[in-house]
Amino acid sequence: MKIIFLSWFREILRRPTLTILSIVGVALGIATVVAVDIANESAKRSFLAANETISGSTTHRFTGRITDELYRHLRVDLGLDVTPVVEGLIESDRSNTTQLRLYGVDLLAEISASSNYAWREVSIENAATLLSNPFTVLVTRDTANSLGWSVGQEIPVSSADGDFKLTLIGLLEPANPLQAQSLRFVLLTDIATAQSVLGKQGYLSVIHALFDESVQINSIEAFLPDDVYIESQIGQSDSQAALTRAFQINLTALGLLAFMVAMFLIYNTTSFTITRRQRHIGMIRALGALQRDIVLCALLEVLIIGAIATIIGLLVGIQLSTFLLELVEQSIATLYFPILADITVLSFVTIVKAIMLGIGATILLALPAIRKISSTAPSIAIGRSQVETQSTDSGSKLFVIGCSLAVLGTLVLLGNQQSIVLGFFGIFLVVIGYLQLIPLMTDGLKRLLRPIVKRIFGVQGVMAIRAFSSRPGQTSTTIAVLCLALSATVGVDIMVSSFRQTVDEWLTSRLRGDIYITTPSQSDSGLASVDVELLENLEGIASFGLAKWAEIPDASGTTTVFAVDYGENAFNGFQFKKKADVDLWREFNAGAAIVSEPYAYRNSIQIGDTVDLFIGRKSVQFPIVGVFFDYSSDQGIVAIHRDTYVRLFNDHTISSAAIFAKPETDLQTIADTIEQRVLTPRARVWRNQELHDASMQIFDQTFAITYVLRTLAIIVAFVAVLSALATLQIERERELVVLRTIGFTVRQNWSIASFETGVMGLLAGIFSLPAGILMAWLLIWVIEQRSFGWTMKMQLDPLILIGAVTLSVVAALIAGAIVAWRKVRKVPAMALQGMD
Amino acid sequence: MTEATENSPIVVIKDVSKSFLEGDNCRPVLSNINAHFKRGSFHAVIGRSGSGKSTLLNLIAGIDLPDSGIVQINESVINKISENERTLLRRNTMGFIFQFFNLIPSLTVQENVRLPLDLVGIDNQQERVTNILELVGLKDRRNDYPEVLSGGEQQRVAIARAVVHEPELLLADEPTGNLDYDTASQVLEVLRDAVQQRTLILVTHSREIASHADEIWPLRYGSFDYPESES
Repeated sequence: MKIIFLSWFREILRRPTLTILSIVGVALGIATVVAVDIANESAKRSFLAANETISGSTTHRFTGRITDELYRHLRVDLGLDVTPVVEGLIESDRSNTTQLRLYGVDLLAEISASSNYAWREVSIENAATLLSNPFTVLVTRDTANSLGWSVGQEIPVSSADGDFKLTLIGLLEPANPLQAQSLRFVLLTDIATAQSVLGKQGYLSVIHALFDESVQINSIEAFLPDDVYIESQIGQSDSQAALTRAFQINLTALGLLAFMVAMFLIYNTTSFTITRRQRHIGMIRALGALQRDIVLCALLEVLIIGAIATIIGLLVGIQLSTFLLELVEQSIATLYFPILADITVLSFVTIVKAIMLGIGATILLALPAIRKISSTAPSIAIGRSQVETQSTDSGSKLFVIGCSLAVLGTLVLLGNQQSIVLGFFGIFLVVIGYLQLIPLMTDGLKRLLRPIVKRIFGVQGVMAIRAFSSRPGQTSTTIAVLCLALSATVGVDIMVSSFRQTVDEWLTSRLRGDIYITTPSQSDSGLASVDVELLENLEGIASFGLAKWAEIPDASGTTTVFAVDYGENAFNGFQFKKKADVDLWREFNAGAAIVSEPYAYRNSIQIGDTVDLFIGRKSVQFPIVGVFFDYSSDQGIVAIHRDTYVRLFNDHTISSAAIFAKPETDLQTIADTIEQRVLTPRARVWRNQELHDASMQIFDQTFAITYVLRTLAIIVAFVAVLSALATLQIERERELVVLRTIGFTVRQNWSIASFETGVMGLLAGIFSLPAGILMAWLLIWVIEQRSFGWTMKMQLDPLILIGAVTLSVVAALIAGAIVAWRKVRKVPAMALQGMD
Repeated sequence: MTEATENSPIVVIKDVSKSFLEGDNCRPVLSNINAHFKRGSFHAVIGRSGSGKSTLLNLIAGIDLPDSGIVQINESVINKISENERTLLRRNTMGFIFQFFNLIPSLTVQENVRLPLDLVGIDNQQERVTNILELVGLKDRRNDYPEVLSGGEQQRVAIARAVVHEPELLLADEPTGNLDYDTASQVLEVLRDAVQQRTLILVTHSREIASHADEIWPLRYGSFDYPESES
């Protein structure tokens, strides 16, 4: 037994390249999964940490129009454990584009409160300075270093209410890295300073509360003014977490694609690892080695490869995750909240997952090959062709299995049209089912190609095709791995490009104004009335419309309301998915609402239903007359006429204005004039095209990570192909050497080898197209719809399809060339030596 | 089951047929053959290429199975025992010499020879290995890998490996088929020395090599003509 093990493992050393490729292949698969996992987990943890650090472990919060007086009453008269916050975004010249968050707290209340706030880490000395000196702030050392600030420095800042100078009087010392991350770019100050800078004198942004079970929420609610609400903080946390959920789902989707490619890669690698030993196994079996001995040796080899690959995969995955995290942060910050997620969280679950994949899956996926090779009669194992005859026979079986899986997957998809997990599972089954058809399709296409190749390339072409057919089982698996990676690329590319084009068309249709003025969403006051007057008197303007974005309470939390009056022409820019058979514009003017597609999807709303919003304690119902396409929010929005909003909510503030210029007016001149004369602090003036381009830029930033993951999938597939081709070429070594001996030049031999791999690449590319289109269709109609509630028009860009086939052929040619070049350059006599 | 006696045949072939699938066609290789190979004799199975010689040897070794009929080694009917039992029977009872040597390239000469001892679980391996390598004249090359040996040397290693665990039955598939005349003669000599009183079944296409056998079994179109006694 000792000698069998010795011979087995010396075999590894005899072919180190193949072993290294096997390890690299498995490690890459693990690294991708680990990196996505870490990125996902870290983003989630950062979000939760940020939430926890800022709001503490509170149970409830008061929102709405909160006065200082109300806070005093809650704390002093009712004796509740509450802490006030005044917060808002400000800008500093030194921070350039980075938005700073001014966070005003009552330090005395914080210190006595039971909740676990980061602010309690503020030293007594700093707290005293902060309380006794107005317009003073504290930041973390990290923030000060990033912005080049030093203690004692005066910092000019601007807010929605004007320009101010704040003095940095000390540095915060966060207790741990999570807090440090959450407090980056946060300026801590006292309530009075925050109120002055943010223009909220006499008012608070929020009151955090820690209530125990004895506190009667109902009795507090009864006491509150109509425009103040109490919310469960846990519920709020959940709803905020829901914002990132959809993003994480998409990241997980791509992670799963990487996982699928990794699994196929591991299957391919382990199958090669085992089957390349066919002759060796045949010899030792003929000498009396038992099946059990072979199984033990093979398992041990796979275990060693899996273990080494797991360690490498984990290390590479951690490195890769920091890169992915930057992209995740970019996307999350763009879409949801400005968190900085460069906290690498290598959880126990991720390690277990890596081990399960690296060792568990590797062994599991190697079992069919081990079983096959160990149970093959020695005489057959020594003679290769008969083993492969058996494997081609299984093509029809695979066809049946593939069709069954695809049907099962379709049934899963149709059976439950809400679950995202089942959606993924359905897609997984359909794709795996499709891959089972590859052996038969390969055989069919090969037959088709043979006469064409013979006519064009003569005997050499036919030799390449035949050589390519000599290992149908392994060839099909290699093609399947490449096909899967490519189909993931095609699928994601089509999905993103369809989404991009849909958003592009949507923006074009929706942005009917020539110029827009927008104000920061956090600003309560919005566009100043003098600026509205400016528009009324400006030359070159045909008309203008006003809009307000508001968060209005509803039965389950809040609803984003877009109160708009941009005129009938702009209203016609809404593209409706469904609409009532009425004059929509007239109904809209009369008080009806239109809702975005995600809103309708999430709330299962139909035309004719109503949206219920609260004005104080009173519920108001808006009949729904249309469901419009909208990609600005995955949580959904409700649009009503601004007149309706003003009438019901008595809120005259304005978030943005759309300006319609007279024909043949120079838009740039109008925009420049507005920009020069607009008085609202931090108001931005956009020309239509600028706003359109800025939106598309955000879109591209958001999807940057998908391109990275797609590239990873391709790299994994490339290694798979390299590994597979290396094995195939090694097995053809003798043939290539014989060809050299009978007069083939190095170039001719190289051409044959490359041609063979090129055909494999071509087939994988062709097969990936239907799979990719299918995957895109499923991603668009199943996942995007279920996670975001968005419908997209699928756009088939021929460049994506041509690009995939080209990529496949080039990748296969490069892999083939690398392997073949090493083999065909050998001097024939040297190469023939030692061949048995 | 009865004990094998000195006079009972070591290998009994009864009504054995074997065919192979070649694409959609079924090509018969052996048709209803019968044979009794006497214990302690040198048997040569002779025939042209494609006559079924190697297939017969594979069936005797239990590395392939007949479509019908019985192959019996001592008291064991190999097509009625499990794969595991066949392997154990091969391991303990037989030594196999291949035309293309089939040495394990990742093992040195002495490790290749030690392999059967390791499988059978025989102690005192080094002494046996040294003795047998001395017998085949390769003691000095014991630490070399097969790829640096000549064809004749590789086949001598294969012979050493086949006999080192002292099997009752030696099977040789064209052991000199890949060698030149002089080397083939040397190898045959080594083989005869190594076989001693064991049963040797050798398949060959060469009448000259077969002439060294006690009994010759001419195989033609998948059937035996008749057994010939040469010596």
